[in-house]
Amino acid sequence: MSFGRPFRFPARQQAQRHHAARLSWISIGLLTSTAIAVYLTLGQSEAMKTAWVEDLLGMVPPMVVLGALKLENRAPSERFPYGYFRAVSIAFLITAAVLALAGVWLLLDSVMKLLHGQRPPVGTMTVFGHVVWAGWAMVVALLYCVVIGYLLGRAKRPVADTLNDRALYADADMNKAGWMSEGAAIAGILLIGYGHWWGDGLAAAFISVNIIRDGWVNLRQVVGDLMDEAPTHIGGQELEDLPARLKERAEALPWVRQAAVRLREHGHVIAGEVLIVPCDETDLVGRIERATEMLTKMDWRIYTLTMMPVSRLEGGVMPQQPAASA
Amino acid sequence: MNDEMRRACGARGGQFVALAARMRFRQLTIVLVLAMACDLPRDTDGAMERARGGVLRVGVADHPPWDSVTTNTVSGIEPAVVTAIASTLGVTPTWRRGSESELLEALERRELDIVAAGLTAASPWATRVAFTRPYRTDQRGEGHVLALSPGENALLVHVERYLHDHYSVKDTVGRQ
Repeated sequence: MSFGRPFRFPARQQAQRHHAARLSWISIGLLTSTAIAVYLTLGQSEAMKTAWVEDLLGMVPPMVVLGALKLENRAPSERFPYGYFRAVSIAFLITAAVLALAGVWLLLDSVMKLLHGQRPPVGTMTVFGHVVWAGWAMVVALLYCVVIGYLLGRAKRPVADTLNDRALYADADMNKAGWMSEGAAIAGILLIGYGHWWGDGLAAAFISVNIIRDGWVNLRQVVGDLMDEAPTHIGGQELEDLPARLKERAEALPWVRQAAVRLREHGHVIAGEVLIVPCDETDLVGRIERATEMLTKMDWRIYTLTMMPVSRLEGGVMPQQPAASA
Repeated sequence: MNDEMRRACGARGGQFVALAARMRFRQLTIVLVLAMACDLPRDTDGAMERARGGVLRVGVADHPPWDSVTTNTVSGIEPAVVTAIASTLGVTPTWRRGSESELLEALERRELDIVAAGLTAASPWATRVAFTRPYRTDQRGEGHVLALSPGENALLVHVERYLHDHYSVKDTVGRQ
């Protein structure tokens, strides 16, 4: 038993971590290419501008994921005795805040332009010596973004699930929001083409609402994490039954009369305490060590579990579903 | 690609139906979408249709050698360009004289279709009205543009095509 041991991910998760890192690098590369494609065709379209900003912001989560994957495996130190797992949460808090703020700014911008009745001029571009309506170039650039975003999002989901990686999961969500809003931008451009000037602003507003929603969902998740929320199912609000299962398992031991468990998530991993009321104190230290090991093996994410014998548990168990989790 | 699209648009109805009869559904859909897309973009306020119907409102501000305006005459490089473009639509421009800012404000309110005022692409008005691509360069190296009412994208595309086909931004106009 030691505080200083680095966490060893199980083989399957370790492989997925490499996969996640690779996906993140691929994301950064492809999103750079989509951002360039959109920038080249940007023009004065509000929807295009919004899609461009979303592309740029979409690069932040993969960078954060990469940084966190590097940092989190460092061994705990004297200065950071609990390890570096929270790096994931902190980096993610920044991303989520940036996302939400950028969404609000873009929404205000597009709504103001709608209210002022600004009509987006979309002129021509010269492509290989042909003069074409710039709208077509925009549609092609956006179609490229849609394909990239769809494929990236679909590739990240299963990895995020096996890794219990909220950052990666939200990143996949963001790819999805990205390609859907780029689809909206296509509709906006075509509406301009048909002479409906409001199509552009409306598409931009729709995209920014999507960005705000992304930011809000991520913010809520990461704030929960930093508030030491109990483990929740990835991509949802529902609490996991892991604490209950650990308690049940502990209480099934013949020398334990009663147990109480509390867990919290540190990025990818889980830490927590188990209080037990022993009914038989023979070889208590040895039994506690063996029981800790057994309970730790119940879920790969459990990194540090402290078991403490007490004479009695006051108040018994915690309320099943604290109201604050809603 | 563009020439083909234009040619397809020009196909006579009978030919089109005969062609359609030989195609499978998916190909037909693609062709229909292309045919529908051929007349894109359209104007938000119908400037192109008005021009074809005989009305093209052009604001011109005195800015020699680009625009020379007297009480009776309008001349210079830009009025010549605008007149040439107007003739491709079979219309004679109706000139309105005024100061640059006065005309551009009118343009923004869509009271005018085109403004010729010796504007360069660097003008801060670029975000409020629709500038064409630069078609000539002045001695300072600034590309000159015409201004169109924002959102009149059919007219904008028509004007830009004409500018692309007949002028080059590489040509420099000296100050006289």
